[in-house]
Amino acid sequence: MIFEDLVKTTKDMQDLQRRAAIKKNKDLQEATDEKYRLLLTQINKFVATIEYLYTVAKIEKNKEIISSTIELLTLLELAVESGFAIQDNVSIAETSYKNIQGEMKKDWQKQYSNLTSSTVSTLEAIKGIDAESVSNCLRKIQPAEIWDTNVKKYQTMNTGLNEADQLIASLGLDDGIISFLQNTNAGRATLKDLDDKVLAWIRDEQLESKIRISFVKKLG
Amino acid sequence: MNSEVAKERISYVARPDSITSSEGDFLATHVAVNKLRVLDKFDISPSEKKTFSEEDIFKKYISNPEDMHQFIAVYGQSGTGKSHLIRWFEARYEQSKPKDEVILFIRRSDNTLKGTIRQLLEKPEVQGISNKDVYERLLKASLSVDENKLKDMIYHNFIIEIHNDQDEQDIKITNVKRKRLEAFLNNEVVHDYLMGEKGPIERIYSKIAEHTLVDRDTVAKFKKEDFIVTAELADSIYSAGADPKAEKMARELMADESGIEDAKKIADYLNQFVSEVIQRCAGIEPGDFKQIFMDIRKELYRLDKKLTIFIEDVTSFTGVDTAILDALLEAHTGKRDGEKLCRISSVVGTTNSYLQDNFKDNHKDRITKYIYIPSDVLDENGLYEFVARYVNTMSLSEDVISDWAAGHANPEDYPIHDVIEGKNWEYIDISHEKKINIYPFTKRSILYFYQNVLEKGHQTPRYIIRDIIEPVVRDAIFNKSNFPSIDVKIVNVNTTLSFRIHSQIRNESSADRLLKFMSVWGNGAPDQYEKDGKTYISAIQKELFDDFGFPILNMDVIQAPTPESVNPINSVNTVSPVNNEAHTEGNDQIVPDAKIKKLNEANTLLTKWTNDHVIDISATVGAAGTVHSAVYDEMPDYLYTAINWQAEGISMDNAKKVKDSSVLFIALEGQTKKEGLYTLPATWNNLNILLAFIRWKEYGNKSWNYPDADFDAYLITTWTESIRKELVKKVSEYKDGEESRYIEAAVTAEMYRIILAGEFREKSLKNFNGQTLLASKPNKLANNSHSTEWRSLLNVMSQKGADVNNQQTVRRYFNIGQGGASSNVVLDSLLLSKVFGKVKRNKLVIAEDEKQSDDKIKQRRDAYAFLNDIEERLDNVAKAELSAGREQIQRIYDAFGDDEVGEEELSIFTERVNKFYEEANKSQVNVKEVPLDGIKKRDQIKKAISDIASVLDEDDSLTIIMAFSGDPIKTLKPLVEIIENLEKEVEKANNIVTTKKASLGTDGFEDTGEDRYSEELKSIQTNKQKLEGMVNA
Amino acid sequence: MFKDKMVTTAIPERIFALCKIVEKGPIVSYELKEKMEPEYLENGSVYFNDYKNAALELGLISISDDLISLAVDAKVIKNIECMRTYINSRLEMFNTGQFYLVTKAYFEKGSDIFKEDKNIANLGPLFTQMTNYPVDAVAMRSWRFWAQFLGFGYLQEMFIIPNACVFLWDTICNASLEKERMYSVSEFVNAITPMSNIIIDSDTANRTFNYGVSNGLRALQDVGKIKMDHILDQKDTWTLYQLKAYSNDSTITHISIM
Repeated sequence: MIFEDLVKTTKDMQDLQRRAAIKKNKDLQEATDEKYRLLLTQINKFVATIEYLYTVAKIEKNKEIISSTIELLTLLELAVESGFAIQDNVSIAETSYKNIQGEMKKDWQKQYSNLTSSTVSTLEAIKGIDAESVSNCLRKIQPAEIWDTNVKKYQTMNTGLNEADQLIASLGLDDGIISFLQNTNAGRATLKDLDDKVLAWIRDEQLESKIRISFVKKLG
Repeated sequence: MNSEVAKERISYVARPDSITSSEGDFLATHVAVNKLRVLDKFDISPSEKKTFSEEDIFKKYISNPEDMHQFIAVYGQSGTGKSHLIRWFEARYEQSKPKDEVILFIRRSDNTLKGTIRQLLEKPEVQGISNKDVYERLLKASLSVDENKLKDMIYHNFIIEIHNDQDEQDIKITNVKRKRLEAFLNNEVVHDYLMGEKGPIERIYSKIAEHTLVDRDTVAKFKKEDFIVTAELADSIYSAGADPKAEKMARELMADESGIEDAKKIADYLNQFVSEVIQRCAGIEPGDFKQIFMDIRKELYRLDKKLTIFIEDVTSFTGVDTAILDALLEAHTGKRDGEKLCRISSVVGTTNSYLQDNFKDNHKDRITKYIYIPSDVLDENGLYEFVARYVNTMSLSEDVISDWAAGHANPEDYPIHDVIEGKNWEYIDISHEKKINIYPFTKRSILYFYQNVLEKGHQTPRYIIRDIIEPVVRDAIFNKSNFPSIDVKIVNVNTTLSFRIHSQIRNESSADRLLKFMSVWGNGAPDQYEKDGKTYISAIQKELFDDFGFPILNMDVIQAPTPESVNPINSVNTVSPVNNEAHTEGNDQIVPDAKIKKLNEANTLLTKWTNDHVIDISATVGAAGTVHSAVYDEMPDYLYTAINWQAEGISMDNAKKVKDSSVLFIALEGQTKKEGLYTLPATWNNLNILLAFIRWKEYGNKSWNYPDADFDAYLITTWTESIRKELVKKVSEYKDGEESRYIEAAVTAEMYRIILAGEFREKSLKNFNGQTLLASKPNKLANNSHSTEWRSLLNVMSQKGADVNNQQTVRRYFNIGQGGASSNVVLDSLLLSKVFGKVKRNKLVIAEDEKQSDDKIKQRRDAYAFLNDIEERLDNVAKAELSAGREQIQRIYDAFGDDEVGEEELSIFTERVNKFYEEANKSQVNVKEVPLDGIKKRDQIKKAISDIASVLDEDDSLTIIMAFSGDPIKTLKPLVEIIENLEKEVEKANNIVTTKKASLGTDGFEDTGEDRYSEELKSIQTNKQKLEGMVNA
Repeated sequence: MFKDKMVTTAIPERIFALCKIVEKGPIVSYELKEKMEPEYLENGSVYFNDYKNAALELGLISISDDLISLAVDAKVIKNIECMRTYINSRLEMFNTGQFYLVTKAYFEKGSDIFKEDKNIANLGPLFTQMTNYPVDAVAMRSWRFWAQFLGFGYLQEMFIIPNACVFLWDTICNASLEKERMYSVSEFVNAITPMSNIIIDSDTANRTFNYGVSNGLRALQDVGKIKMDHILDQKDTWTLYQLKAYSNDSTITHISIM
């Protein structure tokens, strides 16, 4: 009878609503959770990355970044305190992470440079000597210039650095030579730069034929 | 009169045919015929001014003073007294004939050939003739022949004549036609037809044979009418299988123009053979008669005698008439061969048509004189004398008369009877200062009979004897105590006289008798006067009344009138005004003659009605029409206002219905068509009432402004009072002793109508009050949701406006109106209560035996018919309505899961519906909106439901329809619609919900809790530790 | 209706109906009116007062404080005939009223009334002149109802044919004349004129019964209720209207009630 049917159906609809709402919530929740996890994954990666960098690569620790990250992690903890990841909180966390990333990126620039610039310039300098090895090293090092949370990249960089050192060491290079090599690479080396040490080194390394002399063009 | 003598003598004396009366009686009753005309040439209607008396003619011609051959033809219309005159001539001649004169008198006797022959044979002169053969042939011819055989002989002789016709006759027909005619006549059907009574053969036969019934004056001829063939006859001829020639003839003779011509030709043709045929059938030869007469004359000449022959009616010689005439017309003078003939003087009576048709021209030329008897041969005095002589002769014994006759029948010796009855009665003067007492007649009565009783064309001596003298005298002799008992219709009854008589004599037949006496024997006036010491009442001497035992009544005394002059007797209708009430003294109003005539004609008709007790007034013209108007219009219109129906306790509605019905208020006793409530008996008094009404209309032009209206007004008003009670009873009653109760049916029906039309919507009759009944307003709602049966019933009720009519009846019935003038209603409150109360108490049921469905008055009957239309359908209506209602309400109950559906439930329902739609909206369940306007008026719905619910188990139809009168079904329709629509939508919703739920999946929607992120939290911790480690390191 | 001017609405049947209701018990005027002319009938005007007043005039009802009660014995209104007889006994009380005067004049006119217009509504001027009281068409129309009812004549559409047999009989009954006793005509007239002065002129020297009264007496004789005699050589005579057809003797010396 309709009199009762109305009630039942109404209830059913309410239930449906609820369920739909629930479902809707669930999806949202899933999405939030997804975001949460994703973020967490990213943070994991980040942490792993900076852990490597700080602990293994021993770059300068940015305490701020670390504390921010710890804060961020705390934020993430709070975000699920209710039992469900709260979207807003997750969003805030995301923003925070982005900021950290930004900071890190900035910081890395410095750090990278610190870490690799001389090696890389040396390598550059000796590129003519052993291009392959230099390339190998550079190949390992240079990608790490661009910041991301790929820890492997830094491991490779480190390896590259080490290899570069080894290489340089193996070459017995000193600064004079290196400067000479650099100038050579830069096209700036002049005979002036050819001091004995350098010449000796060149001869030792049998690089005589690998270096050319050219006149400086006058700008006319 | 001398009744003792008259008793015996009347049959002998009162003989219409003057033939069979004795000589003495003949002479004693003879009244001199005077207005005779003498002509030399035949003229059918002579304009000769000079008249002769019979005596003149006798002296001048009959007695043949110059002893010449003569042939005198005496003619005139039938019944004028030709035979009588000739007989008188003969008798007169006998008295004073010369010695040598032989008189041969051929009597009319039975006017047949055979009879005539017999007469001849009796004469000694005939017996003595020499030619015995002829004599014997005559003898043989005089013998009787079997009637049928003779007729057949006649018939077949005609055929023989035709067959043998060698074109010798004057009128010829072609051979072809002749053959056809023969075949035609030979045809059995034609034979039977022509042989029939009133047919030509019968006529011809009658001239030959004795003892026929055919009128003596018919001519033995074929007439064209005999041969006009009707379609019927033609059919009979064909179907009997006729000779084709006969059929052809029949067709030719069918009644159209040429047919009639042919028929005449054939009749004329055949008539040529009549004489031949008659002679042959009579066994005589034409020559025989001629021979006989010649022989007679020769013999007489031989004896030195002369012959005077009187033939009363020459038509008795039919068949041999030519021969006779030849014989008679031959003069004794003149050259002839053979023996000498005696002088012959013939006086022959004949009719006009016979003279014209049967006397050939050569005959006509030889007639020496014509004597014409005109039809008006009797003047007034002659009439009186005629009657007087008969009465006188009847009162004298045969001896006295024959003695007188034997002694030359001298007028101065004419015997006068002794007045045994009739002292004080009138006398008629005859010649020689003799007077005859005419008891039991008065001159007036003779005149009255002559003018009013004898039919036109029968105002002749023969009928005077038969229709006046004989019946009246017989009545006076044998039925004196009831005299005059003969059936005489009184023309123009004098109402005053009638009134006076009837008011003084209670016995109607005695009163009628006296009225007749005074109107016919007297002058019919209600007055009396003294003259010469005698009292005359209605111009009849007082003593005459005593003779018949009539009472003497008081009449108005007037002056004795001066003696009247002698009038010529005219035919009917210009009687000296016996009754001219329109010209009363001192009154300058004249009523036009045409109106008087109208009244008189009506009077005659109504007088007949009072005698016959039947009357046909269905015509609307003529006398019947005049009476018709009085009975159908004047009387009912008058009675309708003259009787105060309301004061008599009859509603004007009822009175009007009765007036308008096809039943008359008053019908005449024995009225052939149309019924009346009250029957007006056929009495003199009621005759007067009717005449009064007629006079009011005709003389007064529907007013009382005419002479003697004061009497009529008195009559009518008095009569009104006398019939009032009975008429009122008849109007108010349905049947004898039972009051009309149609108003109950009308009220009942109207109550039903009010309920059915939804003008009263309560469930019980308690509040059905006067206002509801009389002033209920029409239900304005255009449509309803009643069952087909209900609507069909309303439809039936409105056919021909029956419902409106019935309502009008109810609304008018209880009104105490004032002559129909006003529109305001004043209620007869007690009557209304009574009727209304009864109907309500009986719950609108009228018992079958109380119904007056066969009421004579149609409009009252209609009330029952109308009610019946309702009643016979009501059960079905209730059933159908209840069924629909039950279905509907069940639907609702089912929908609500409860049989209590009131305002609260409806309110909740509405809420629920609203919530349903709200949630549907929220849950995006696509359902159509069902508007709830129809259930806004919750109290109405509740009432509707409860109305229907209250009669679910009811079987009384009235209760049921009352419950439904407010059309609850209509009220609930929207609810039901809503329910149905909602059900659909709810189902739809359910389906959608199910689908949607399914698509939402059934996974656990219950996941909550901290376990959810346990991994992640671990991970976070790990990281945190790492980082903290980094910080610290 | 009787005291003064006549009104068409105060007809006898309404008065009777009213009395019959009142017979059942005293009733308030409004209630009575509502019974006979209920408002729901939506009559334009109310006639009630007219016939109520007429009933009052005639002494049939009495009104006190708006309460109407029957003022006569129930016998009087046992039926409408009784009411009529009662009213007929009291007409003399209204001998200055329009009804009385018109009736008197009408009967004086005798059979000459037949020469007048057959619609009496048009005879207003005639009766105004004869009675010296203004009479209009409405009055004449009203008059006819009572003339018929009280038995002065018979109504034929809009005309009254004078024949006072019903009124005279009522008067005879009201005068309590003995049955089967031969009264001299003067005794008779004296006995009834107190109530029948309206149509019988007892003052004049001619001792003639006018047309309408003569009709009435003759009618009563015709139905056998009275018998009129002319005993010769009596000095005490009255003459009836001459109706030749009825009888040529219009003199009466004695009347007996049968």
